[in-house]
Order: sequence, then structure tokens, then C-alpha cells
Amino acid sequence: MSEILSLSLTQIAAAIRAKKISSLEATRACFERMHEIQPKTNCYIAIEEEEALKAARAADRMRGKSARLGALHGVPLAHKDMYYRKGRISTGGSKILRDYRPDITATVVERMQRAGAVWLGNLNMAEFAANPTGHNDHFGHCRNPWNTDHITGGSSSGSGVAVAARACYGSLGSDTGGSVRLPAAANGVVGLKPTYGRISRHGIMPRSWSLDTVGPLTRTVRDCARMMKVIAGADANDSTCSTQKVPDYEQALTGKIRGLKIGVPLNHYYEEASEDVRGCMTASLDILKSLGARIVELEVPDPQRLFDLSNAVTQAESAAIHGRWMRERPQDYSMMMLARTEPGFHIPATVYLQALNARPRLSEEFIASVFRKVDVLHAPVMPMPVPTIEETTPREAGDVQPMIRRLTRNNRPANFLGIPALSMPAGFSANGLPVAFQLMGLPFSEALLFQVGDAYQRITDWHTRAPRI
Amino acid sequence: MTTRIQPDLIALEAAQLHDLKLDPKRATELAADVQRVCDAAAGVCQEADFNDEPSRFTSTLARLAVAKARE
Repeated sequence: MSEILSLSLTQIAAAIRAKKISSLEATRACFERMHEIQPKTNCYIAIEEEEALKAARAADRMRGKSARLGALHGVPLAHKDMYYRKGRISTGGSKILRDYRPDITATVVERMQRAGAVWLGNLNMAEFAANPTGHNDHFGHCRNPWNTDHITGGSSSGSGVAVAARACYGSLGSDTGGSVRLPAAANGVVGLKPTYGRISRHGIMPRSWSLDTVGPLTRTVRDCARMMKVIAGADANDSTCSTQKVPDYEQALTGKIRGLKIGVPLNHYYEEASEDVRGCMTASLDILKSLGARIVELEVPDPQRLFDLSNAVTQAESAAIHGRWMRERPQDYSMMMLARTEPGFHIPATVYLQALNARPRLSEEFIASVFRKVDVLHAPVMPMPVPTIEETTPREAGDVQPMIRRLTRNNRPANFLGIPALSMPAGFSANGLPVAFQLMGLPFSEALLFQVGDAYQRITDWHTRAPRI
Repeated sequence: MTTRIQPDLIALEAAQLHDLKLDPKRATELAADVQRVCDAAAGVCQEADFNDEPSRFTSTLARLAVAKARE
């Protein structure tokens, strides 16, 4: 593997800017790596080699001019196949949208283009962003680069794999119930589910309007902070997008967390945790403690209730989105997608609205109860070691909901509450697959989460380890 | 599993409202799923205020972020 690929996103951006490395070299290195790993991991749906190399050459030419270079100038990135570019195919990982060419470009895509990023291709994902495993019956399952018998996590499966395997420097995923955090965790990379409304959803394939968030997956927290600064902020095309000022997230990376209170939930989050996951959580808390943070154990308002209410919202909205196709062409959906969506057809409108109506109050209660006592909440992303593809392949429709519940139980509550959550690599379980913790915080506290995560990465090396594939 | 929501209701609703076909086993599974969600919503309804409304969600997030910053 080329040494260029061992650089992080911010390091390659600096090297390109300083003309130590060209964008063309970095882009070529990514494609070489991609061709090596694609047959084993199936992380790409579409590769745009010719256009990317052309864009990289153009980025290199611009360095010689006096033009102000963007924060991602010449940096090769690849994204979950659900970010619309006008006139370009965006499949959503589905058979139904296999030839779909949207007539708009996503706001986040425009912002990355303005920042100078190079687009390598479209990454594999769960069909319509609707499963947490990385299974895909239409484009082939995505496979974990640490052990290809295991799941990648989903729904941003290809994003987790491509970043972990060094086939790109960063990627956009999306998180409606864990879809950034799970693949980040399962592949050993950093992933952020931002505050609801922090990043525009305009021009992304919908999964569940009320819960969808756009989030970056990267190798380091600093990389994630860089991508966030580029894509976050108000958008007139998305009325749910916040007008709150976007901070300079990289400036928050001081390495100092002395005196911060880190909460550890006594209920729910550890209920199904395996011994090796518990061990990694304890070790990560010891590190944060050694940096001067205070660890505070506390009960949190019932996350199971939040989980059930988030299901009412996702299932009802997804059924509304897919209703027509599910009637007219059910054979074009996978069993997993059908089984996840079916309950939504039977949730009364009043129940859906009651769940939405409770959201502001439950968020306020959770935040008052938790974040008056601690600054951030620390919990496992996935309570069990990363399972195999075989173990998570449903045999019949009735297998789907219980499997999804086990995998996403620690993730969906943050989506319902709208709060940010940062997934951080924290070691490996006995089966050799990555383990991760997540840091949750107040709405719009991404800078604080980055501060804690970056301090942790300064004295750990989990994020520097690459799968041998 | 016994639920208050009967599988027959789910099967009829699928057929009559949504033009979808369900076998009895799947209707039973869906009845349990829907029951779980309805129970969760019924629980939060007990605590709801007459003046609550869903559109407060985004303003609540903004207000809570600001409130903490001022502490």
C-alpha cells in the first residue's frame, strides 16, 4: 500500500497545498488501493476514475495560481450512493433507483465541490439506507476489511470500509438510526451523527425525514472536524436546517479535557454488552480519566422508550415514502427492506404524530437529566462484537426486527433526541474486529465531542491501524 | 404472542387500505410490532401537554444549546 495512503485527510490536504504531493498522486493511490480491495470488500457501486483523475489534474493546476484554495483542495473522497448530483445516477443501493438521475445537486455536494474535493465514486450502502448490517441483495453485500466473513455495519457500509481500508480519505454517510456510527464502529474509523438540522438534507435520498442526518466518516477526529466545517450550516433549501453559526471545529482540538465530566449510563446501554466490549469501554474511560476527565455514573431517562418511538417515526415515514412502489413492485425490494417497512403501513397517523409530538419534551427531559450532571455521555456503539454476515442474514421476515433491535439499540435514542454522537475506535474484540464507543452531547455540541475524541486519539493508536487486506 | 391488536385486523388493513397481501404468520408478527409502537406512544400521551406540538422540536434543540452555553 502506498505511503501516501497512510496520511490522514488533513495531512494529505496540507501536503497537496504545500505542493509536497499532488492531488493526482493521491487520487491515483486511492484508485490503486480501491482496485485491490474491491474484489474482496465490494465497497464501491460506481468508480469514476477518468473524471476523478481529470479533476485532480485541474486541482494541481490551480495550486500554481493565486486562487484561494478550499479546505479540501485536491483531496480524494468517495460517498454513500445517495448524494444527488444533477443528471448523475444515484442508486440509493436499490434496484428501483438503479438508473435514477436526480435533477438537483445536494447542498453538501456543492459545498464539498467548492472546497475543492475530488469525487472518486459512489460507495455501497444498504438498500434505501434501511439496514444496519451492510447486506445488499442488489449490488452484493459489503464485506468487512478486517475479516470479510463479517458485516460492515450499515447503512453507510461502503463508507466505513473505504475509509478503513485506505481507499479514500473521508466519506459522507447518513445516520437515521445508527447508519454512520455502526459502520464507523465495525470498521474502526471515526463517524459523526450530527445534531438534527446541523447539516442540510437537501438533495439526499430520504430514509425518514424527521430523523435523517448527514455525517462524515474519517480516520481521525481532526479529519471529521474539517469535513464538518465544510458541509455544516444553514441552507435555504432545507427548512429544518439550523441557522446557528458553525464554529471552527479544528480550533476546539486543544488536547485538553481536564475537569470535563464524562457520564457512563447505568441503564440500557450495557445491558447486552459482551465482556470484551465492556473491557474496551473500561479501558477507554481509564484513558479519558488519565487526561483529567471525571467519570460520573448515572441513570438516564429510559432509552428503550425512545427507541420504540423512533421506530414509530421511521416506519411510518418510510412506509409513506415507499408505499407506491411496495404495492406496485414488491419483488424489487429485498426481504429485509420490506420487513422493516411493513409495520409502518399499520401505525395509525395519531400514533405517529403522538411520537413526533413527544419529541421536544422528551429531548428536553433527557438533556436536563443528563447534561446538567455531565458534559458528554459515553457508551458502546454496538454492545456485541461485530457479527458475521451469516449470523445476521434473515431467513424469514420475522427475523428482521429482532436482529435490527439488537444492533441499533444503543444508537436510535440519539436520533430521536436529535443530539450529536461521535463514534470512536476503541480497540478490538476477541474475534479481531473493531470495537467503538460513542460520545453523545448537547445539541450543537459537536466541537466538544471533537475535543474529547481528539484528546483520546492523541494518546491512543487505534485509528492508525489499517486492516491487512 | 397474544396482542390486543389482532392479526386479522392487520391483514384486513393491509388488503383494504394499502392493497398489500399478508400471510397469517406475517400478520401476527406485524401485530406484535405495531402493538409495541402503539404502547410506547400511549405511554408518552399520558404525559403530554395540550399545547405541545411537533414543530417545537428544532427550536427546542436550538434553545437547549444556547441555554447551556450561558450557564
